[in-house]
Amino acid sequence: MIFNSLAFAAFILLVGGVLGILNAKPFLKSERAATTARLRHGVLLAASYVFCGWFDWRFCLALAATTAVVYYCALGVARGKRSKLWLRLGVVLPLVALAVFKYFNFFVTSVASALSLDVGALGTLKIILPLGISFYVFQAISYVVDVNRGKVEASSDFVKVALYLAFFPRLVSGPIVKAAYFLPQLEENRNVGLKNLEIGVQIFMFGLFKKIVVADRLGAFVDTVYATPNAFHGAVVTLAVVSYALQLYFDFSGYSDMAVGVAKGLGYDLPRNFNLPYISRNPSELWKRWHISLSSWLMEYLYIPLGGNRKGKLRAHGNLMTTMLLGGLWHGASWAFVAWGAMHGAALCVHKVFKEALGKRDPAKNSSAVSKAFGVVATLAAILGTFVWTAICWIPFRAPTFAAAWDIFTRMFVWDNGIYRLYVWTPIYATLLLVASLVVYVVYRKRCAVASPEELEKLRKTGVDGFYPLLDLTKLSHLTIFIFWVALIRGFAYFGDTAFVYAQF
Amino acid sequence: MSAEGRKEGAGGWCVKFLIANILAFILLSCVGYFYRSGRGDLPYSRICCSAEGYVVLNLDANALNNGYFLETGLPTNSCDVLVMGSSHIEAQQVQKDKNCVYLLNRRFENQDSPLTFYSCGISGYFLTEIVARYEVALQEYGPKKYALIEMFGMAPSIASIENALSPKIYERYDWRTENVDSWGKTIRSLGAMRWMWPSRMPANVNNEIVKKDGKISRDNVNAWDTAVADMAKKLMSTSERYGVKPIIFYHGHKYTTLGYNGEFVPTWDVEKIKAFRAICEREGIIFVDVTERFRKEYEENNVWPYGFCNAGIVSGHLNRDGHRMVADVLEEKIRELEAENKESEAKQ
Repeated sequence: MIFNSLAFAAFILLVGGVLGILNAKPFLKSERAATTARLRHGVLLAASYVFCGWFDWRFCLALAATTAVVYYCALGVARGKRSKLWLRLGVVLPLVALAVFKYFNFFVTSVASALSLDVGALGTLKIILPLGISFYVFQAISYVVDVNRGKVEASSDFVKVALYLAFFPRLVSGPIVKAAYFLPQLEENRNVGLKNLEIGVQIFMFGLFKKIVVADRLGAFVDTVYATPNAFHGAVVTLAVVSYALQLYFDFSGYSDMAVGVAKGLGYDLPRNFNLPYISRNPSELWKRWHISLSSWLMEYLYIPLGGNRKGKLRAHGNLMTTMLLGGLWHGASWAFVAWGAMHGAALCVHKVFKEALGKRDPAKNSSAVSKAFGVVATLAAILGTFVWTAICWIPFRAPTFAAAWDIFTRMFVWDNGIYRLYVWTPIYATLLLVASLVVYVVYRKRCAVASPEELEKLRKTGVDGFYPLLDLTKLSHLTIFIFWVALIRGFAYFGDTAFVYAQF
Repeated sequence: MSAEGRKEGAGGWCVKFLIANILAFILLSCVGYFYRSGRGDLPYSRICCSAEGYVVLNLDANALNNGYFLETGLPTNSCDVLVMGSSHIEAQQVQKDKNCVYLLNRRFENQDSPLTFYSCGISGYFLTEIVARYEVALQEYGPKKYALIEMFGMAPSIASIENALSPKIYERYDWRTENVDSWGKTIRSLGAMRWMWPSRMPANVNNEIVKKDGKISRDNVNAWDTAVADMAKKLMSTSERYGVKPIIFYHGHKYTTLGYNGEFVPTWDVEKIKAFRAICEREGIIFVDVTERFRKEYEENNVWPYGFCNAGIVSGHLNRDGHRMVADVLEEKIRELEAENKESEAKQ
């Protein structure tokens, strides 16, 4: 049951309808508030398990087992007695589950390959990867660790913890939500409401547009070229590499928007997962804008515990590489993902060295018109360079094998033969993204122009910040535009075999 | 909905919603206005949503894509060669002077005895549909010399051939109009929806056939041979009655694929197409295979006959290179036949 399916439309209407009933007056009486809240959470939890079990009922077992482990471990940590043991159990057990389901066969085949052994002799498991396990395991770990760090209280309500891990809008592909962000929402009187619906539906449609109009159409081209790269001219292969970078962004951020929209419609907030990543000026900024919930998780629960940059330059680079290698491996049990992580890790290290070598320059010294003009050109070059490197990094991520990745990379430089047919949608969608980024930039500059010094400092810290173009659906003109827009999405949608790219992780 | 919206009440908002729908509908209808896809009051230009995007077509009085006839003002009920085929021949996707029928007209216009080629390409009409309406088409468009019949992909199944020979399943479809089921027709008659609604062609007929046919086992290979022979006999006898020579020209369409290293890979059942060809030729039908020409052009010039820059780049309908190649092969064959005719006339 993916978001862009009729089954999900029926499902969300049903869930929304049931939750809507809980908005009726008899349920809102103050003496019944606690019971109603429990009912709401129960309905959402049941819906989340139906959603999970829709793919395969056995997925619910893995989810429930992880929930039980995390629930008791967090309580154990909170009690203080043998808290270290409970903490270790709370971190290790979900990781073991992830390792078994996701990485066991990979390690067996890798060891067998390295030692030239027969894979059959070592034995592999015939298992399927439970839906969203990569995402909810990370949430589970962050919950136990945060309880230990005192950032969040351990909840004694099993339903709430279960809902935190299973909440269906984010189950398949995140975002990875921290307990401190989500659990307090369960304490509030949140439910479906008209205002939430108004915003949620618009954010959902925004994501749907990204997915079924943009990403899926780009995917059709990418699939063709990646399947037979040697048949195409270098320009076509290069365009396919760029197209994949765009496809992945529109696909995954589209999914994230839909998740945010669905959750909003139900009365809950999910953090934004993308913030115009392709306007990043360096690899470090990229990871603050791309898959924000994962990169912040890796930073908080892996990079910093490893020592971060507190233990010397060499160790900091080592920590960075380790974090990115494991981040790559998180995406899938394949050396290609490890290589992808290594490429990004290397880029981050290089950027770190470059930044340290350059030092902090005094902006007052660079205030001349020439310096400013140079600054603009340098910024654009930095954005372009970061994008090019990111797009190259996506090659092993998308290619079926290392050999195929190498073929695609080398094919980009073959300009004398191959089918020459440039896909027109890539420049169109790239322009669309560029225009959207420019609009966001202009809005940001306007905000900076009128901001107080404190606000300006804050704005400079966050940088250019994307936003959802929301309409006021109580106005006739806005409502007309919205309906027109929805019809256009239907009109321009691409219909084919189009699963969400990140659902496989 | 904002606080003011809630104050105004659900009723007020519903009225606004209704009006907004009507306004959006009008806006969409402005776009959909030109998308009049019925084939009735012709000739006219139309914008339509085809598999490879939105196109403007100039159709003739029979709602067929015959740019050459429109340009020259030739009557549409008389031609030398009738070209029957599917959407490949309908050629919505290429410029009007780049499709194979137009090219053939141009190539045969300046000679002692010029030939005119009339296109009867209709989306969703495959070999068996063509066979089912072959006689009607010969009556209607009156070719004098040849009937070129397009065949692509896999060889037809027994059930589809049976239906072509005894076309009960087709009876409820009017061959001279674009067919949509009544529900789809109602929906599409609403301006905005026309633009949004995907075209529902006689594909539903084909679905029924696929369901009926099932898998062809080794046991019914002989039955298939017999069915193909019956079909060929019917084509031949009808052709003889109307004094035309039938020529089937074949291309692999989606079964013409690329290998990982860029090699040309036909993935249709080659043996079955060979068997089909042998049966047709035994019954006197000329069979032309365009595959080798496609292969040669790809291997020598990296030109691929299918696909477009705005859709599947190597899959989909024949593109203008594909049309040119088809025209080349057909031209060669027709010149060869014409030379043979002249030779035999001279002998007589």
